[in-house]
Amino acid sequence: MTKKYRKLATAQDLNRLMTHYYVRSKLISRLQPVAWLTSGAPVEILTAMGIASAYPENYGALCGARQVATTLCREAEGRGYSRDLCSYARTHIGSILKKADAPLGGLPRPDLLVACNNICSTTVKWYEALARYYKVPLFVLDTPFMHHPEPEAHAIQYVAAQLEELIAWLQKHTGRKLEQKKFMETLTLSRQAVQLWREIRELCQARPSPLNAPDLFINMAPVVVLRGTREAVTFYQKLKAEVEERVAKKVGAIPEEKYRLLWDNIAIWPRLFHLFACFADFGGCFVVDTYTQAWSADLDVSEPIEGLARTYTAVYINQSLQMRAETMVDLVERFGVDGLVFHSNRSCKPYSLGQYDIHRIVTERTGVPGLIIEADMCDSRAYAEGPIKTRIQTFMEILAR
Amino acid sequence: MHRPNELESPNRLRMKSVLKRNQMEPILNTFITASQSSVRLWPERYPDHQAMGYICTYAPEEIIHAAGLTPVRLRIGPEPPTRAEAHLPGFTCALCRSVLHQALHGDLAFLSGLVFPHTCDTLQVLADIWRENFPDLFVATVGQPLNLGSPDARPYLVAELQRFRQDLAGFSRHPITDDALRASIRLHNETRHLLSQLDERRSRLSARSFYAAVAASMVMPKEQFNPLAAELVKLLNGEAPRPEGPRLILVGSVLDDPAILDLIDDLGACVASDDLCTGSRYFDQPVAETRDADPLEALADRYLKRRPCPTKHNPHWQRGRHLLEWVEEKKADGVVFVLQKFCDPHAFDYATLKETLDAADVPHLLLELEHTPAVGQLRTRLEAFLEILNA
Repeated sequence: MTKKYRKLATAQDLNRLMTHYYVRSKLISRLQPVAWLTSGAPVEILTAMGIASAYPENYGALCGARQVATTLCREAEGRGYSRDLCSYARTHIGSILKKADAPLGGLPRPDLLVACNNICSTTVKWYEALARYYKVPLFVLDTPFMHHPEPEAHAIQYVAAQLEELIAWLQKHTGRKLEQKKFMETLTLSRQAVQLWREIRELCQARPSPLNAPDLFINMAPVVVLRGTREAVTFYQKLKAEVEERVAKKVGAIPEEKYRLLWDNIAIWPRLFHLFACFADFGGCFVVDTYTQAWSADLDVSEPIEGLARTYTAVYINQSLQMRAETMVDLVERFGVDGLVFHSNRSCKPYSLGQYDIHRIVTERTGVPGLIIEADMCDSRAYAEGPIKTRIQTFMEILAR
Repeated sequence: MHRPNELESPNRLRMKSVLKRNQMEPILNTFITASQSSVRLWPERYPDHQAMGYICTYAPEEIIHAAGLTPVRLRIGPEPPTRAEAHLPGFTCALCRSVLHQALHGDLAFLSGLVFPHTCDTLQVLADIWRENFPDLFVATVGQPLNLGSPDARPYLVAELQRFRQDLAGFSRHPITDDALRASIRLHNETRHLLSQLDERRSRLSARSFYAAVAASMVMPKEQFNPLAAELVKLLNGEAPRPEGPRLILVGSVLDDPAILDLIDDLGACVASDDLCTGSRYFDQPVAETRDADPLEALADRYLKRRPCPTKHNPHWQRGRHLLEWVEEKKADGVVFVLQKFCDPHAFDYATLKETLDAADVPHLLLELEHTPAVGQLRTRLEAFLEILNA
């Protein structure tokens, strides 16, 4: 299985960077206030104010990949959190309830919480629970859902006004100010990292594709948790160079790429390599996905607050299913995709509930067939090994015809 | 409490009561029919009305009504939602699956359109699915702010209501004047007031009858509902309370299937109060009726101050504390959570509310509802719970 996976040389750098990040975030809590953020929150403002950030969702993914999420989920379920709820939330709440089982000893204790609903409204309920548990202030940022491609002017104004509120709120609770120079610097670094990430993803249009979905899923971590820092930019420069080299030398992510696939939804963390190896066995390589592109939208730094309001409102899963289908059609065409694989993720309703219609629209418009796998991003109890394998096999046989 | 007139003989009193029951029955039957019979019959029943569907208590009914349309709330229907299966995975709540099924089955063909206010992630997707599958239908989405404590919530909400007003006026070719809005606000406030009056007289009605009245108010034209409800309130005055068993508070989202209410009635319990969106959250708080104020601002203010749905973040509303206050005020013996499976906001709140109730020693029971409730199992669990309360 692992022989099918061509490891990147920069994997070492990534490992070092992320370990450093987790260790440092533990130490930093003595020097800087710590905020817990949702993955789609405008971290640039906090970074520029010298507020350290930690990401419960990222931590949930880490627990999932380390095969401990289900144990932690059970802890939360014992406290009344339904098994039908988001497994990132259950995993993270479980890690608080039972620190002994929490990888890395859990996240550093928060002083502040910032939740943004551009990725889902579950985060808000989750953070409400955290605010009650830790008795710390919570800021809720509301980014109206985009049912139409062009957001209403009053919706952008609304988000911008809340961002101003957020700055004042952070200042009130930490005594730290947002210096314009530092803010611009952070925004520029964030934009650079995001742009590099976008370029790296675009390089996968090459045949064979230099990266497969597990590479994308693992390497997106810095753009989520470290955007706005120089280290993220340095890392992505190095990664980009390696990916470019693969393209130049026609080195593919998997030994023999026969079918180019698209992945939709969050990864299945406990089965990340295993699942993608099942596809690789048939020569299937995931050349593009919709999840890791969530952190690749450009930012208008000339009007920083309005720019942030626009960018954070327009993240992929805050868009209508029609807009998402449109994006997918574009990806299919540009990346030469032969098959679509949708992870119907029990944990993530805003991502998963429109998939059947998206599948139909994209297949009708491009002729590319699709497969829907029902599972969960962290809770391995929702992963039915046998049936999933059979479905993958059948699907790959259809592609072979 | 009503005191029997000493001059009236017991026989005479009994006769009066029977007479009242006889007068009440047709009203209650109208409510039960309106709320329980097939939604397909709506156009036959109200031939002079043009229906606009909506799906949650955050839909601005007053604006719909001021456009000359009749707002009709969509509810969970009795049929298994088979046609929704091609559009929604199994982990979608029964409400969304059922209403989509009804639409795909042609039951909702009489609707001129559908209004989706922004509340939960599932409804957010459902609005898009609706647009995709009924491209010729008027489908409106209305933003409703998430953070009710934010100073930015009100201006955004007013702007969204204004946008909806324009869209709807354009669609219905019916200008929506401030005066029409004010008249609609009066009408809807009257409905809320009457439902509150019925709420105060709950002990004289069965649970099934009370919730049939609330449900009828959401599907009948208010012009027809209000006089009947007013008559019912009058008839209930002086009516003796039903023999009382354990007093319950129901907590959840939509409770459209009367099976649980029948169980409560059968087992001799009574519903003292609720926090349901097919109950008190629907009629909580009137809209301010000041002549000079902008009616849209008045509407917005009600949404910001009414009893919130758990999809809304309200830093000034502690759900647990309010629940304990209700338990005390309504002299409730226990709380029954009637939660729709796969409704995340309610499931999250349950964990917190459970902890609050445990700490205060208030007995509670969780009933998780799916499309077709397993009545036998629900009965056993409810019976066991009531035994604890009776002990």
